[in-house]
Amino acid sequence: VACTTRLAVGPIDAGAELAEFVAAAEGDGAVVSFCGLARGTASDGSALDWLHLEHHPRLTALSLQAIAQAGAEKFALSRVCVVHRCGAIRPGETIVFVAAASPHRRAAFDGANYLMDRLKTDALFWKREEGPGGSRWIEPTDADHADAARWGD
Amino acid sequence: MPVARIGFYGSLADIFGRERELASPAEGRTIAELRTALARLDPEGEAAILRPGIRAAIDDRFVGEEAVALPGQRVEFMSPLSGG
Repeated sequence: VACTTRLAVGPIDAGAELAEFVAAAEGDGAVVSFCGLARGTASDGSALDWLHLEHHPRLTALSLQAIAQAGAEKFALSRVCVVHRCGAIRPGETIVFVAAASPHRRAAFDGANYLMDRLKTDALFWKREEGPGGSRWIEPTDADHADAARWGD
Repeated sequence: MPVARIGFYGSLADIFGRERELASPAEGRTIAELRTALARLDPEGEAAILRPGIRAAIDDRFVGEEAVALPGQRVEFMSPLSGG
């Protein structure tokens, strides 16, 4: 299984990532990708200027690799790609790009879904929203934990 | 007395700073003991460090409450994660 993971300090070009992934997926029948974007508003509806993603200097990269590997094994994926931003992110920019390739579509859909659920709760990032009203740390919701738990890991 | 170097991530860093040092005996302190020592620093810190979901690591390995951090080892407390 080819698992590619990367911590991106600059903008992610999701189109280029997907094109590269598809080009390398020779022999597979399905590629499913997901692109997570920084929203322009906070949960209370107020405007956001920035999203800051703090990361751990060593463990964050390892957590991305562990999640990608777990997804690849769980769904027998042929290839996995996870690219995750860190640092200051503007609304509209890509925070995370995930792609899963497999011989048939169901495993690729489930694999990409699983990867995102795990990234929300198990990737080593700390997210802070910054807007005109100040800054606020974002932590996983009960729904995020329920999403991750449904895979039975 | 030797010191334990402690790092903080997420909202914990707003309260305790990115890193601080605590006096530690030569035989070290458990994670639970370090939490208690940090909780004594201020009321806001107490609520933050003792709440559920705060993970601890020693030298980049996640550990439980009874794990002992020896002087010179790096301890880190991490707020709940929020990737994706």
